[in-house]
Order: sequence, then C-alpha cells, then structure tokens
Amino acid sequence: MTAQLVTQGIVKRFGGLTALDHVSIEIETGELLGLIGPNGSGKTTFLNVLSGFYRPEQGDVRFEGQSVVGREPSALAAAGIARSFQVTKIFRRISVLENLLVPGLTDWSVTPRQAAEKALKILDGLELGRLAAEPAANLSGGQAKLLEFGRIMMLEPKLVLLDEPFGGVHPTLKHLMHDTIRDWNARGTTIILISHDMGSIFDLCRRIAALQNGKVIAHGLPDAVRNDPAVLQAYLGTGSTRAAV
Amino acid sequence: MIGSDIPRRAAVGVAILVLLLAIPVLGLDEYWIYILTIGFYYAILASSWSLLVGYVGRISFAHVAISGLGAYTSAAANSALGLPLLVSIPLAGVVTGLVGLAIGRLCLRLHGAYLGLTTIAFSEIVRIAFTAEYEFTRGSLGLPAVSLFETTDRIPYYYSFLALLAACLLIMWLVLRSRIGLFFAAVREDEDAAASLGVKVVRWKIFAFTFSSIIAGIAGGFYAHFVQLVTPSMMSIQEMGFVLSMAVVGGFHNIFYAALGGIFLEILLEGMREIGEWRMTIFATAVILILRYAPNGLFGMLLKRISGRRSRP
Repeated sequence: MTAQLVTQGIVKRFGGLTALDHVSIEIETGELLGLIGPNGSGKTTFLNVLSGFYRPEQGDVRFEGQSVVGREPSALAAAGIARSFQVTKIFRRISVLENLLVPGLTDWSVTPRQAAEKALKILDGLELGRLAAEPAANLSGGQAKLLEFGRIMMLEPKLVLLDEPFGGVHPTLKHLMHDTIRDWNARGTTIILISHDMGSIFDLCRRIAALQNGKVIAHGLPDAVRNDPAVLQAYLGTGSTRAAV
Repeated sequence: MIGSDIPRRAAVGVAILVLLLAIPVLGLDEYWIYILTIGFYYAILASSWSLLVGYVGRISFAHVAISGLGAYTSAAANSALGLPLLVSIPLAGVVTGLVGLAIGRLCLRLHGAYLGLTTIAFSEIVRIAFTAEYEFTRGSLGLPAVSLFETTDRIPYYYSFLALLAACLLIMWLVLRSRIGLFFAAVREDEDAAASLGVKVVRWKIFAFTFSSIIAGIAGGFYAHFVQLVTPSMMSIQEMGFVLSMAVVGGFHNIFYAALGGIFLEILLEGMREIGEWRMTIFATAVILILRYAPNGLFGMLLKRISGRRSRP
C-alpha cells in the first residue's frame, strides 16, 4: 500500500483561533480512516482544506504525489476527491435525477443519456429510483444524505470525504449507508469518515485519528485510540479513566 | 435539462408565435404595432435578465445600462466609424459582452444586496458619464442613429424585432436545456456543493453575465436604429424598474414567461397612459403582490392552472 494523501504540518487560522495546528496525517490507498474529536476540534476544517475550500497558512497537502494546495474545489473533484457536507447541501429546486446529472455531466465526454443511465442505476441502488423525477426538496433528511452519496458516486472518486453522514438518519437508512461505504471501500476507494456516531466509526474504520483543538492527539487502531488517555481526557474531561467511546 | 413538459409548452409557444405573426395581417392599428415592437425589445431584456436572476441566482440592476451601451455602440460605430448596421449591431453585442465579462469578474464574490448595489453603482456611472459627456454622445440631447429600414412603415420593424426575440429565446432555451442549464441551477442552489461536484462555479457565473449582456447589447443595438435617437434616459433606474417588473410579473424563473411579461406590461403601460405616473404605482404594487402570492409570475400561475402541473424553474 502507498500513501495516497499526505498532509504535512497543516496550519489553518481564523483570526486568533488556530483551527488546525500542524496536522500531519498519511492515508494509504484504499484505507477507511475515521476522524473523531469533540465539537470545534478542527475535523470539518481539515476536510475543507483537503477539498480545496480553505487554503492553509502553512503546510502542504499532497494527493497522489502532487501538491493540491491552492487548487479549486472543482479541480480537486475532477482529480478524484469528492465530499459530503455536515449540513446537507442538495440542490433542492431541481429533481433528484438532475442532482446526480450535475456531477455526471461535468465530464464533457459523457453524453446526457450515458449520465442519466448511470444516475438511474445509482439511484436504484440507494432506493431512490422511484423518486428520480421528484424535486429534491421533497426528500426526507435521511434521503437527502443518500442523495449526497449518489452524487459522490457519479464522480467515481478515488478519495471520499464524509462529514457527519449519519446525523439524524433513521437506522434503516444508516444500515444502507454503511453498506454503501463498505462497498466503495471494497472497490478500492479511500475514505475519510467524520462522525460523532462512535458505533459507526468503530464498525467501519480500521484506523482512527483523533483531533482536539486542531491537533492530532491520537491515531492508530480503533482499540488503541479508544483507550488512549488523551482521547479519554478530550471526551470525558480531566481525570477520566474509563473508555470514552 | 430544464423543463420536462416540453411538448405542451412548445405547443403554447408556437400558438403565441403564430398569433404574433398574424397580428399585422389582421389589420391592427399602426400605433399598436409600434407599441408591440417596443414590447418585443422589453421582452428580450426581461428574458435575458431573468436568465441571470432566475436561473443563476445573480441579481443585476445594470441590465438596461448594458442595453444602452449596446445602443450607443451601434449608433456611434455606424455614424462615426461608418460601419454598416450588419457590423455595428453585432459589435454592440461584442462590446456589451466584454462589459458583462468584466462585471462578472468584478462581482464574483458578491451576493444579494452587495451585488445589487454594485450593479446599481455601475449603471449610474454609465448613465451619468453618457449624460455629462457631450463631444461623442451629445449628452442628454442624445445620439442620432440611422434607421434600420428605409421606410416609415412599422411592419418591417415589427417582424425584425419579433424575429430577434424568437432567436434570442431559442438560443437561451438551447443553452438552458443543455448541461450548462444544470450547472446554472447548481450554482444558484449552492455554490459550495456545485464546486465540490466539479462544477466550475467561477466560469459559469462569468459566462452567465457575459451571455445575458450580449443579448441585452444586441437588443439595444437594434433598438437604437428603431427609435433613431439614443439618450441616457434608456439607462435610467426607472427603465430598469420596468424591466424588473416585466420579468417578475411574467415570471422570472422562466425566460418565456418573462418575455410574455415584457410584452404584456408594455401594452398595459400604453393602455394606462391616461393615468400618468399612477401607472408606476400600480406596477410596483403588482410586483409586490406577485412576489408574495405568485412567485412563478402571472404566466407561471396561468400555465400551472391550465396544465394542472407544478412549474419548476
């Protein structure tokens, strides 16, 4: 296995707040990394740096050997980095199918017919096929999360960044999302998963990194991170000794 | 991509086009032929403005200023440089396209009120500059322009503007139903999500400004050689208010509804001439009521009633 994504000493500040403080992480091709940490620890900021929405003040992000700092999010999407958002960002006033056609048609060599065929297959797999013609605004919160998954699948990315995909999702849909994530990963897609749902994190991820105050305080195998004193302190406060997660 | 109810809508469109083609033959008074011709000009402005606002979600109050720039460009290129109208009118589109591109680049990161205020400032700068300048534009006296046809007959102008309107609508429709229309919708709905999915947000926002400006500029170029006198008043905020009212009353989420709004309000404007400035009060009230109770506009609401379907942007 080779490192697909390498971050070296990433620093991101917002005024006087240091959101990311020399974050260095390596992620191998085909890995499924869980990113945990309390609210405000810098998880989403880290994803925003990786996906090109934020430019770090210091440090470098290398994807497949190339520095990607300063590249536009659309260019990174074309290079194979796709993401979801903590607060779902579906295109509410166009149809469910059209939501998938947007990423599908950014490649000008793909015809609308080819994109539509692919999109319908994906929607069927996500149990959204019968809603293809519906305005996306009519979807439930969980279905909207699945729609974001569908849009990501249209891009056939090499690296997927998932930001709190299970928030407010019904257990049945969550099960489908777990299966989808496992399926992507089984096909060789690298995944970084942010979640406060520790059950999902420990169920899905083979390696976990924990952030607090913008710093990586622990990383490694799930059991090691679960029992790491720094992680226990971050989640339960000073003096905690029992497993936090 | 946009609009799944294409056959039904196309039938309605063809019926309206046939009616408009037949009107001069049916012996309508020449005065109303003239009013309808101006209505077609406003229909082009209202529909191209709605492309920017309704489809891409970018507000602009500079649209009539850009159209005015097109009018001055064609008139000046013809009179001062001696270029034939077949060159000077397309040149108006090129110049206004470049201006639209510049505005699009300048306003890339502006939204809502900030974008609106910036375009108002641009519009007023242009209008005041053309009023204050005299040597080239003759200030508020206006710049004379040669006529499009060597006849005083209104009918050739009527059909020319109708053909121009049909061509502009067809081109806009083809763009909007292509993948570009979907990218516009994605940018309107959520720029971050669009960018994360590979949509080049900057490119399409600039393209939208440039494209709508080219259309407004060519319409302005034609208009100059119809009214034969280009004055800064055609770039006034009040004129922009008319275009905005036409698009909103017609339905600014659909270029065809906005175009119908342009024709409809121009007719209404003339029909209510006797009540003078009170017309403006009535129009402004209509805009408020339609924004509140019929956000798809009068024609969007009407088509919804006829077809019993929901009209989507």
